[in-house]
Amino acid sequence: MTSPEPVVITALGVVSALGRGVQEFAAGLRRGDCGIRHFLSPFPRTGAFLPDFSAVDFLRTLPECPGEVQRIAQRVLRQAPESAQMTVAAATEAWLMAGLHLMPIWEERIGIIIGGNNISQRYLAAGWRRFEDTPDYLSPRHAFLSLDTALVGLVSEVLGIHGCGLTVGAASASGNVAVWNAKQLLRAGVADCIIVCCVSSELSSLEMHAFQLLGAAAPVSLESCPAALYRPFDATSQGFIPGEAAACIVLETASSARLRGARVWAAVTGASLSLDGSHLPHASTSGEVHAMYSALLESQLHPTEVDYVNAHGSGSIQGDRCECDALVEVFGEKQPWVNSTKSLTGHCLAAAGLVELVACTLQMSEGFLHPNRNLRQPIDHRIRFVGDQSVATPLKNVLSNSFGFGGFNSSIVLRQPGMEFGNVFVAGEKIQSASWN
Amino acid sequence: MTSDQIFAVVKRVVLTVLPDVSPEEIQPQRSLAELGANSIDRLDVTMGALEALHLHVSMVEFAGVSNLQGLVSVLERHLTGNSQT
Repeated sequence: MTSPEPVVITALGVVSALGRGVQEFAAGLRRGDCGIRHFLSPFPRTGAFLPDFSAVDFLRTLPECPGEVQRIAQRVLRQAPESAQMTVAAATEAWLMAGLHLMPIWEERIGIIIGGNNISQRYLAAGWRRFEDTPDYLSPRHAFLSLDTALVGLVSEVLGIHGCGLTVGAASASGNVAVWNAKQLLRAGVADCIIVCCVSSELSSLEMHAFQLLGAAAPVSLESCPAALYRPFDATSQGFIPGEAAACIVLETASSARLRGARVWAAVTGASLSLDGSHLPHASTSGEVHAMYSALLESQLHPTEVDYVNAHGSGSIQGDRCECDALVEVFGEKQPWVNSTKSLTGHCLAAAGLVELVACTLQMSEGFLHPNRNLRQPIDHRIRFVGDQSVATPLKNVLSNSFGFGGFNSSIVLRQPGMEFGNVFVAGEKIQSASWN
Repeated sequence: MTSDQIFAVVKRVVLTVLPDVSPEEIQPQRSLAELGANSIDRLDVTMGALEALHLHVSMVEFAGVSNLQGLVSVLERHLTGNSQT
């Protein structure tokens, strides 16, 4: 039996309170910056938000962004939800980085997957308020811009993409699950390249209140220091602080990347998805163990070969406890490094998994681990947490966890490029590498 | 409100709905389709003008409109009607 076709990452895109664009984001990770602030508009809220983000302004800062792309974006994003602005921004950055504007694949062979569900909730809430006040002035656009699937159509229109397209929902695990699904579609031959993009679920005051009632979101006082509020894996953690971001990863078959001479950032060697058999928001150690083992098995890796785990680490008291137990069960005595990107970016919910895969790829590429912020009293001393400073270290194999309400468990394993492919162009240079077996 | 003032309101709404159209292109005899508007953009222009003028008019009233002047005329008729009541 021949090995399945390797799937590789050929580009990244991200807009987050930690940094607008991949370069700024990487610098923010390295410094361990925190994007969390207090905001008074459109309602009092605390998080790593990107208020009034404009995709058109962002696209102007991207070298080589074609004028036609900017023109279409300006027209189609008028009245669109904030989530659409961020999605188009991250997708366009990745599309340019992948060189898809210069070295196009047949446009029917490029697909789009938007990870996430119930994305534009603030847009819906604002629409309701407006409709109740002045129903005669309702924009007909509400009928389609309020749909999650509008994001697929918007990205396809701005970037001129005509292959497969769909949304994939798995609550806060959506980013990982979108990559899991894209990898399957690429291996099935449905597309040569898939632009996977996720944006944080917009939260209205209603959803924030429900998350706080549930005990998932941390209670916040506007007098508190915002950067000290989010404390994943700390004994004093009270829950998550939200973040806004969009992230994008261009996934491609290794043969397509090779043909185009594209830069390969990482290989996706394993991806898993399994359910707890529960609709509730509770985490499950056995489900998380199963997800990690499945991804490692597909990667043909022994747990001792994993250098680093980007934890789900949402700051949920029960969730963090379960994840520590799962990490101990999978990795035993030889624990890999562990950090949680959420203490820097806020919990980006539907986008969290993909923001963290971008963070993993950048850390692997640049050979460092970002700090864990506010982790002074770790809840588990068996885990090898990164401290409050970045660590310089080569990373060959990394695993990223994402878990979602409703019992979704997903792990993705990334590997430094160059080990398992015959000849792959890396940063424009041809490298000779060892074979898979 | 004069016809010219109503046209100025419509022009402002058109520029919002079609941000890539230049102001000089927006002339009374031009149709929205000529300016690149699709059917949903045309509805948005009509809705936007009604909201800016605080008017409540059934969409049926705009059925025969073929250019910006026609749109201004329907709006003007209803504005005048309002002022008489």
